[in-house]
Amino acid sequence: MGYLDGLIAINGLPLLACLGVSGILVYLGMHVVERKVIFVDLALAQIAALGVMWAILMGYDHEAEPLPVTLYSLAFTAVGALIFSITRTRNERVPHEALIGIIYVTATAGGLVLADRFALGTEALKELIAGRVALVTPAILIKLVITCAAVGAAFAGLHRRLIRISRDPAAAEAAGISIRVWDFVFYLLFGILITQSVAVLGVLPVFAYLVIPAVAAAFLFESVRARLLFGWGFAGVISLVGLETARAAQLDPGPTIVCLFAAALVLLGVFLFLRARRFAGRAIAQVAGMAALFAAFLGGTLAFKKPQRTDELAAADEFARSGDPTRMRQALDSFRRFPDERARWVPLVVPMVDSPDPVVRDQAIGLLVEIRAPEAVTPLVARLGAGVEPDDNTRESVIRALRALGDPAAVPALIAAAGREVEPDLAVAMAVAAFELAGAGLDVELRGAGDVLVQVAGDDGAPRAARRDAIDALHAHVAIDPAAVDDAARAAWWQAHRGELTWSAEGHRLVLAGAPTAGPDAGLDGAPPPPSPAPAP
Amino acid sequence: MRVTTSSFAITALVVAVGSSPAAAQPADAPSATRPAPPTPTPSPSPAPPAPPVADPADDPAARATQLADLADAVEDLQGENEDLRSEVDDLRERVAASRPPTSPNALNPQITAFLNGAARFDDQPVYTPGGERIDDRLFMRTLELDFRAAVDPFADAVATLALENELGEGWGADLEEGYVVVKRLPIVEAAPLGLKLKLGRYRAPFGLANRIHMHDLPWSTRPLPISRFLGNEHGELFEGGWNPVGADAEVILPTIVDGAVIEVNADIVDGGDVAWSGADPEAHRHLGYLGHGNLFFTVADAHDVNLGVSAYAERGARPSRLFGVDLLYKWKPIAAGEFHSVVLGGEFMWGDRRFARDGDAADAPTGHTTPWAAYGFGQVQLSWHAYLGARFDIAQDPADDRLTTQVAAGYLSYYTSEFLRFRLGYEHRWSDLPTDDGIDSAIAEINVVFGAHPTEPYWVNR
Amino acid sequence: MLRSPFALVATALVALALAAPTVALAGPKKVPVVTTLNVLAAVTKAIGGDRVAVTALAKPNQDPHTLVAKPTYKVAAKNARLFVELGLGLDGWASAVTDASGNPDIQAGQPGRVIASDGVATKELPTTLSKSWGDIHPQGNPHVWLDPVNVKQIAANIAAGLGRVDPDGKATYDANLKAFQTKLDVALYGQALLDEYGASKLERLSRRNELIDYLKTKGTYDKLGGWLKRAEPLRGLKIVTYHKTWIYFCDRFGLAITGEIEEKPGIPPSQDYLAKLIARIKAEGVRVLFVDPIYPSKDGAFIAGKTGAKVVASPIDVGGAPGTGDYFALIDTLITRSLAAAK
Repeated sequence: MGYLDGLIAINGLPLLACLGVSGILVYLGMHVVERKVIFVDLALAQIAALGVMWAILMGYDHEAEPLPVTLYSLAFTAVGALIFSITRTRNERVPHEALIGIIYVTATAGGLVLADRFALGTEALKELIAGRVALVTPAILIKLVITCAAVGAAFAGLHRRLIRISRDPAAAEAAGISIRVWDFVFYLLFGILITQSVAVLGVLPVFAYLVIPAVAAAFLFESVRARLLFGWGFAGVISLVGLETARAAQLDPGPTIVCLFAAALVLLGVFLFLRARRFAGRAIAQVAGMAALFAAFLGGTLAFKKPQRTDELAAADEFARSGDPTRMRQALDSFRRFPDERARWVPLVVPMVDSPDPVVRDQAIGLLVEIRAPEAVTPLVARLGAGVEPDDNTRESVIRALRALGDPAAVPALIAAAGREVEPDLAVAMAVAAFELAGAGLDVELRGAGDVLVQVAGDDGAPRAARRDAIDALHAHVAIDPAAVDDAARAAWWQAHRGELTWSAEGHRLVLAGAPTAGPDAGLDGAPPPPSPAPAP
Repeated sequence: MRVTTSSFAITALVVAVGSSPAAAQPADAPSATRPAPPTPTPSPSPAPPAPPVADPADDPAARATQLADLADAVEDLQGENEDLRSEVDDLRERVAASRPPTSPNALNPQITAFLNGAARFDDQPVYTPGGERIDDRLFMRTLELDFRAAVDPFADAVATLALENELGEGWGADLEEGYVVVKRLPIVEAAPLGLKLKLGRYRAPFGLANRIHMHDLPWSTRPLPISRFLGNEHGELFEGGWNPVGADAEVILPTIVDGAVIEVNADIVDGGDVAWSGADPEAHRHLGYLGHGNLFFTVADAHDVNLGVSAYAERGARPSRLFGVDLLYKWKPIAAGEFHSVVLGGEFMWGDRRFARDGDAADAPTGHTTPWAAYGFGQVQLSWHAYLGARFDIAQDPADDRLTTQVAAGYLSYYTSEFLRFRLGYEHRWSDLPTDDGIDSAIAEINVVFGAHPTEPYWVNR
Repeated sequence: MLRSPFALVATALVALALAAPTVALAGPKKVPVVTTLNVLAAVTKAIGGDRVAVTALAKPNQDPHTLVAKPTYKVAAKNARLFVELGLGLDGWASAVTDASGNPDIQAGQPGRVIASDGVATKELPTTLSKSWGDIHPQGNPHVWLDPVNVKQIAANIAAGLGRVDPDGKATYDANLKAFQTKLDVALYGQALLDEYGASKLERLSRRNELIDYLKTKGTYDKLGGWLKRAEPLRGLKIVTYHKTWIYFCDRFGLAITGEIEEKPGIPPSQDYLAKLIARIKAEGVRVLFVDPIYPSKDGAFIAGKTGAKVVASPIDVGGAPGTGDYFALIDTLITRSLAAAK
């Protein structure tokens, strides 16, 4: 039952919306097919969408204030209906469809023009065209169902008259029914329905529900009842399949339903064709031939897929996953040339920071730093763990990388690693990096960094340069007494004052609580000094 | 012919597709509502076309012609369909071929491919032992695929598949070599004396040249002793030699004199695989025993000398023995060694042979001969690219040791790189057999190597 | 039975076979090591000291790319406990030797097999991410030993191998390794700079090619000694090499490689290409040619005659020239000869 639960949970309401709307739309579609003015509803739907866009431009929020937006949309639709009924000419030198097409195109163009006039305009337009059936709420659903029911009742009442006009306008005219008036009524009711449906389902799905089941039914049946029943069933099945397909394949449900409608229509056409020829071998062969031709066309388009860039990336992807150090290095070189595709390859490069081969680790870190990837911080910090990274060179790369990425979250790990570090110059570099990245609230940890610097400065076994760097760093980041010039004095001062030091964010150094924050390099006006250039490791 | 028909078929179908929507519209009022719907209409027409209705008013003759026309149309359409199908197959193949290669598998064997072709021009008809005429012809002699891989910590495997030209009958696939080398014995910790076991089908270690594959030879044809005594199906120009199924044990004797290596091979093979046995089906019922000893030493780093002795014996109703000695000398300087070298060598074989005369039957009379054969060659490297060599063969006929054939040959080989070689050779042959006598031949050869390319046997230059 | 000569010979062989191991046991228990290149043998001698007996298979002036293994090689390998090859496709024949030797301890993946270039960052990785085999060296340029910094890693790999096959001597090997690496550092940087910065820092700076700039920024450049100091006049010198051998040496010591005499790696130049190369040498003002003794000297001499450039006979392996008995002497000789030609 798990599948059904998922289905109901995600697609339950959308399915109800589709079914509810399809009920009335299939009926209307029958009329539309009979009248052979297919394009009208598409144009009307687009006008309704234009109305929504106009309403948004007038300042209304179509999510929070649906009523004003609906009224605007209705107004536009009414005007559109008026125009259509007026322009249905008896003497057709210009086909009606041409005018309808012009109106459709104008409405779409108008929508695009408006889309640029407010933020997220194109998003709103796309939603109006493709629909947002996945986002149906119970409130919207109820409103939709009520509208459909009302319009449906109206149509049911006027059914006979409308059918007569649809089937044979000339005869109805002759019988004294005013075509124009009833056309206007038809289109008005139609417009109301369209306005509501477009807001939920979108222009294209509405058109699809309107036309395609009716067309399919028209192929198969003659009687109105048969066509209705088949249309409803057809629409229902496709709605369900479409919503489920969209859910499984992560597609937009509205356009998916439209495509499935079309595919179903093609299959129906093939079936009818074969049935007409009594499933003769030649007919089947013809169908198979067409299918093969189409498949070949599709295959041909794939065959001419441009190889260059994507193929190198695809090969680099494979190389990055291969586990072979040489290949991984080649992959890194390749990725470096495609900085725009970083979303694709950063997840592959981040694990390389833990690769068994030190050259690969180093180069991976270098690449992540080049593109300033924030995803690198966590694995780099992990790399500083006890005994994790045996290679000095790579540890140095990690320190440089963390400094370049500038994330203060690395500070505690840097200080902990500095305390464990065997190489004196690297310990100093870690402490300095910690000082540079530190934000507020790390007073206790930063004292640990100071411990490391003092220890290296006083270590006779450490190389002279490392000791010099430690002393420089102490003076830069700790408000040490300038009078303490030798190791003993420094160590003594540190022991005495260690507990009292707090981190000053403005001066970016550890200072004695209560002491002026300005460092020894402060200007005469007491302004905090510019951040001192720390000794580069 | 096919192309034009199928393109016509495609055009016809496309036209049909394009026009069928028009046909699909139900016949309606002149107020032609011609929608161009956003969704594609199905191409076949919904209304079934009227089948040829038997109109009683028609006369049978008209109907007959109508039927005949229909039958023709059906045939045409069937033909067009065939063409369409083959076009689609081609397209599918091309699509499949253009897909990017699948991911590399590091555990695949190393694969090398050797492609060898030869052309010969002779002043007389030349026949293979099978009676095929091969003079003045061009041959793609062989495509050899060599697969090598480690099987597990104990063994390596080699398989060499040869697709050989079988003269007029197309190509035949042959397992040239397929064997496993057991390097580490499961029970014994260390292999005594560096023992290696080779099991399967392999080129027998008899003499010098038998172990070398055709594409590695310094000559375009096999020397007479190899092709006559050790095995040939198609003569000297095509791959030949002795590659039996069996087991080979190779040991390196402990060094007595520093710098001198003695290796010994002992083999048990399926008898009868060697030409010496004379295509006797009975020979396969017995095993053959082969032994080979090799002494190698270097003088002053630049001069290598190799001496070998080989012995082969077969029991059974027609026991035979074959012996051989071989000598190789190679001079290659250490510095700039790729630019100059000299190789001199030769083999001498003899033995006594019993074979079925006049037919294969077990009760056929037994022939007994004691033929011998020998060849000697020299090769000088002129530059990095070019080698010049000469060879002389002399061999008695195994079936009748009073008949002798001799070949004198000269070769010039040119390597553009270690992977591509061109060779020109000239041979003169004279023989006591009239079909083989006084033939002058010019042979041109091309040899291509592509793939992983394993290392060569040590004395072959490339 | 003993009357048959064959039986006599057979018995003698069997007796020899049985005696061989006993003979081996009686002598001093040196670990027999076989290496492909002479530089690897020199490093192994330095690490192993008296505990090892090292043989190098290739001769110093033999081209290791095209070397064809002789039967004597497999005899040496048969008796070895450790086999050291460089890897990276330079000594592909090493596998043929170990396969033919029948020695199970030195097969690929076994503890007795050392790939000396493990962990060394190679240069000149092929740029085409193609899976075809077209490149001769798909893992990068293999001549890694010509950069002294890489030799530290090579020595570490060899020491690890020795420690695996001879655990009793592990302490000795580790001590010798440390001494060798320190000796290399002193030879490369000079003692003064080593005291100043420590070996680890200097190696890291060298790996990133930041050393000279860093020293100049810090004002400690005057403390530089050793090879780097001696090779100071060579920095920026434009050279043409015969084969793509010298990238590591030149990157370390600052020389600029502007081309190769070989038309393609492994293919000697044609007359056409030589003419173009001569024109380029003249245009760019190249004055020094590196021609390794493993290649014929006539092309180098020809170019030198036409352009006035000087030819440096640059040995690539220990023992390749008189006075290159160990690795230090090799680098010394290379620098001396380059300096002489650059004057």
